[in-house]
Amino acid sequence: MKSLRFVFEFAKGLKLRYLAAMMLIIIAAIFSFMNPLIIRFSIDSVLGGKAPDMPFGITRPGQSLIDFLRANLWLAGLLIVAVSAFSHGCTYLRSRISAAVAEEFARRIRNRLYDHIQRLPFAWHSKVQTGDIIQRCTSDVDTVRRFIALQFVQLGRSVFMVALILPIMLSMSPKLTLYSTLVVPIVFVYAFVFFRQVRKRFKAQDEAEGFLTTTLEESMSGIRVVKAFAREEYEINRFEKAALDYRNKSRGLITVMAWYWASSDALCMLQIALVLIFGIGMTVSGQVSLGTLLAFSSYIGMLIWPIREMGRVLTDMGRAQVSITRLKEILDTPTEDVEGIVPDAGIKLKGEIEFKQLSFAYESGHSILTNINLKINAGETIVILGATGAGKSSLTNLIPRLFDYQSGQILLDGVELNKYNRHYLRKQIGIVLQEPFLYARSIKENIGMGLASCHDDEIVIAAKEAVLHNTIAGFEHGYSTVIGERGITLSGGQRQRCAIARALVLNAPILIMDDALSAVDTETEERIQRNLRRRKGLATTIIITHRLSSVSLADRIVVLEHGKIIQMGKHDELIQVPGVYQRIWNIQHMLEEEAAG
Amino acid sequence: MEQQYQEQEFTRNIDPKLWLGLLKQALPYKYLMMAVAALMTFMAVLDSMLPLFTKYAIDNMIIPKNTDGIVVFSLLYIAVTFIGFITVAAFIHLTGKVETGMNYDLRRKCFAKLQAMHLAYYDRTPTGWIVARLNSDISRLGDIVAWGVVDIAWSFAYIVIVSAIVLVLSWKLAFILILLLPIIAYISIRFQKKLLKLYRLVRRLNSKITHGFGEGIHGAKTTKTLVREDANLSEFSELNYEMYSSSVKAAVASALFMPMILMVSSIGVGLVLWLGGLATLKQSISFGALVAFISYTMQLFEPISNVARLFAEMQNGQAAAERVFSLLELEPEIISSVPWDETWARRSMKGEIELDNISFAYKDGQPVFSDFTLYIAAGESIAVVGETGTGKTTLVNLICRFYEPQLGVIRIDGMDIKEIPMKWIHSQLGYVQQVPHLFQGSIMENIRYGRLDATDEEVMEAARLVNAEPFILNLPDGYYYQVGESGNLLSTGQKQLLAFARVVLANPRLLILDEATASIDTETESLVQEAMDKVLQNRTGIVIAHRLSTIRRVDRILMMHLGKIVESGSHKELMHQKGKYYRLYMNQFMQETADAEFAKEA
Repeated sequence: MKSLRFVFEFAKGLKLRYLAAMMLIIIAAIFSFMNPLIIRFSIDSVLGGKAPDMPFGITRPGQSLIDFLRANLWLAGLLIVAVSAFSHGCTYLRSRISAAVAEEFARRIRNRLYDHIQRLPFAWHSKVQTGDIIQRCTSDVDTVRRFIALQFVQLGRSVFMVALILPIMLSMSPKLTLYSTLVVPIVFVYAFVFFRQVRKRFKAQDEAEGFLTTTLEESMSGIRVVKAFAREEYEINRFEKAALDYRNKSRGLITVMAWYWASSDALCMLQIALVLIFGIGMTVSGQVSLGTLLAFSSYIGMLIWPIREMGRVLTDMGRAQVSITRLKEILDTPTEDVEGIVPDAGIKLKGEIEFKQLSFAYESGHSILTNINLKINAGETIVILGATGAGKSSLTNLIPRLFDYQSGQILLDGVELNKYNRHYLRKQIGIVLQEPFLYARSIKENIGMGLASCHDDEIVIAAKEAVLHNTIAGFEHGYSTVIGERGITLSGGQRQRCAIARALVLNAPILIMDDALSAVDTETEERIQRNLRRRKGLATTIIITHRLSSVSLADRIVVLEHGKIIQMGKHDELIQVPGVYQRIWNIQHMLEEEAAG
Repeated sequence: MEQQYQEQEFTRNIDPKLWLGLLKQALPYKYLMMAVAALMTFMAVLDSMLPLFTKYAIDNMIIPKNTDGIVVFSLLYIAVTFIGFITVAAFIHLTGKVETGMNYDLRRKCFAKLQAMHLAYYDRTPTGWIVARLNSDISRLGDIVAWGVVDIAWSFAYIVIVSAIVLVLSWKLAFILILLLPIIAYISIRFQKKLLKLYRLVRRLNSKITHGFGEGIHGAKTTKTLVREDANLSEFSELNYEMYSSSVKAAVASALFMPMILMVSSIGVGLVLWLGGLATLKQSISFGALVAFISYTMQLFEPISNVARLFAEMQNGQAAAERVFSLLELEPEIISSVPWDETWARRSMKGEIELDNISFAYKDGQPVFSDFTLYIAAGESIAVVGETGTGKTTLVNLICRFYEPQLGVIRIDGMDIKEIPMKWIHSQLGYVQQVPHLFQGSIMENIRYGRLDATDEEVMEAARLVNAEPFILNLPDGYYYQVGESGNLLSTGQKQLLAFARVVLANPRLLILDEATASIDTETESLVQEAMDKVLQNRTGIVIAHRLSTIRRVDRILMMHLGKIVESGSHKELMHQKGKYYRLYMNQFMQETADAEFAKEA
């Protein structure tokens, strides 16, 4: 039922069209049932000269009409063509409509998913598995689409067929109807049971294929190890084993399928044979006419193959339900709120940040930051040092409200951070992440991404400041080089520099760099630092690092440990007081003396 | 991403040479394929006989009102059904055998070829591309060849037999059918081609959509911080709309196909009913014949559209065939001129290495080394330091003969590297990568990779030696713990330790270590350090070093800069020079001290 509600939610304005498609199925079916009746009438009455017996009490045509038809037999042929035209025309329209509806439906779901996923809180993103989510957004959507476009329609068609054919057959001969439908339920149940049973084998085959692919991928990506250990033959054996297993599983499945198709074919043929054999007897004894027998033969052919398919469709329907549940799981997760203060356009943030007794823990309850008290003045540059896991990144994640804190306060320009509109807030912050993400677009677009519009000059300036300009100039297409296309990839350091340029171009009042130079070589790092030094005072800057080389930029240094601030102050002050910081710097002296001596 | 490589446009006509080449690959299955063709011909006979049963029933039983022989008739009919059952089961089974067998053979051949390829090939060929060739391309070829035989044999036989039957029944009426054939064929071919094109576009867009979702999820943090949600959505919607409209286009075209074909057949049925009806009135053909004609007309489209589909698929599969052949025809650029034999197997490497005036470039005009010379004595341990991109890894690539220098000679134990079997070099060599690579399977299997005939006890000993055992025993199944795809269920440090154990087990004469820069937790790091010490003993060692602790342990340090050794000597000597090494060391030392101090505090 819940899945039904899900379907309806996305079906606004589509229901009528879908209903029309269903109606067209009925019309097409009715027309297609007329052909055998026309042939029957032609053979029995027009050609065979028998008195016509019309189903459903339709008035019998008079003898004069039959004589006329016999003289103009082309009319019967034309009628067949006309009826077929209607029937096939309806089928075409129906497929068209149901496909369009299903595609529109899929389009809406995809858009919704994309939008929703983007607006989900970052906490969600940090805990889900990307592969799984992508799978849901693509193959699960496709399963639902197929269900709407094909399976449900097929099911409807089969049901209508049975509902429409039975009365026609019964009206012609109840007895022959009985013989014509003896095997039909067996075919249906057989197909249904078979496809349920065989699912396990399909799964086993899929798994064998997955294993083969992994084996192959590993051997390719680990080729250096393979070569260095001279394990080529071993790899070949391993791959052959996996390929052989996949082959054998596939063969096993094909054999099972071979028996199924053959036997269910035979069952269907048996049904057709039954109609013919009993029909002959009944025709000879005069219970039914030749035309009736032929009509029955046609009808059973129209009926039995779709019924067989229905067994399969029904087992597939379970999959659509599962897919819907998986999609709902994403869409039912609440998005992050974007309520809050948005100051007037004229007012620019100063960028004064104050942490007051701030504590923060992730959903799991694992405490990350405890009792942080820190006031960062507008335009000040703060370097936060600390070991991995000390809580440095968590601290920066709080400022753009990627996570919300639970206790204590963060004040931005004296206003509680949680009161700001998230989007407004984020636009005031230029942030460089440790593992920057670049979009599969041109370098120019990647740098200018945070701005609604931005001049080429600004991008070049930012790129120069990030010491990326010369690298870009070396590319064949310069700033228009598309990242990820034709094997163009940037090295870790280049990606970081691109992200730095992207943040600098914003000229935002707050700049956060989260270990943003970790992959940049020392020489380049020095140049970037020189450039950053020139910008000092323009923005409140928080530099997170575990590299000492960055401290020269700092107005103040904060040492974080286990989520607590253990030392804070200017470089000159800190080297005077006993503590980690002093110890580190003392060692340098020792070292220099050692080298000299 | 793979899709991008897969979906190149190939709209040329069918190239018979290519398909003959492919048929050659199917040679081991020629008898099976002949059997399938025979079965399909037989099947066509059965299929074309069924309307004749109806004809017989009408003309010999129903019209004369005579049920004599109905028992025989029924038994015969059921017998035909039964034979049909056996035939269908047999042909599907055999075709499946050909298909899967061919796929298996092709995969095996391609894989063996790939294993022989030199490393440069892998550097310029993305793994995804190779995987797509061995998976989908080969599957498609097996499918086309195996089921192509089915389609062609059945369709051809069916058309011939039915033509013969209708000609015998009434050559005049047969004209209707013969007239319809080309029309159906024309429509089928046109449609199949168009459909393939349309669906190819849909597939390409679909891979873009997948990529779009991937970007949306991977880039979530960046998107949020840049407040790109709306801009991203509107870009995605555009793509999504494109997907929608091309899918609808494809669906509409395919929705038209069957009704069109069936329409043409029903024109045929109308004509047969009219002209055939007239003929029955004139008694020139029987009622039964008329009915048989009608059923033949209704079924005529099947063989034709089968063949049309096959041709369309062949056209589409041509690109796949070309790509698979391009794999099979690969020639490795680096091969051993000396064959491997038992004498080599017994020979142990001393580990003396000499690079003599080496010039090397990955790409023309961008030399990494020019006139590079280096001598490493047997048993010496060397640390290579320097910024990224100065040729440290290239040095390793050349010594391992993963790449070949354009100029100059590399000698191991005084022999030109080209005159030593590659297998010998690699069997004497141990190599630990910066990013350790493991294979799916158990820990035991992964360590044993170093020496395949090692006993369990030897494997454990190696693990113990590198301090890996404690963590291994803490895992659920100990040594039989499954490490997952590429070892992803383990941490980087743990993977590193296993890579060491693997190399210890191999007991190589020459060890090359590309030290990990990735930060691993301090506890594991000290374990790794200790393991490295043990591993470096009693053999020639070349370490691309990042950590001071490693640097200080070696006999000689080479400071590299832009493809040249700028400083060389012991740690002490280099420190006194106060050059590049001194600066690098100071920097690094401060960093490491800081890291250690912070960690100590924590």
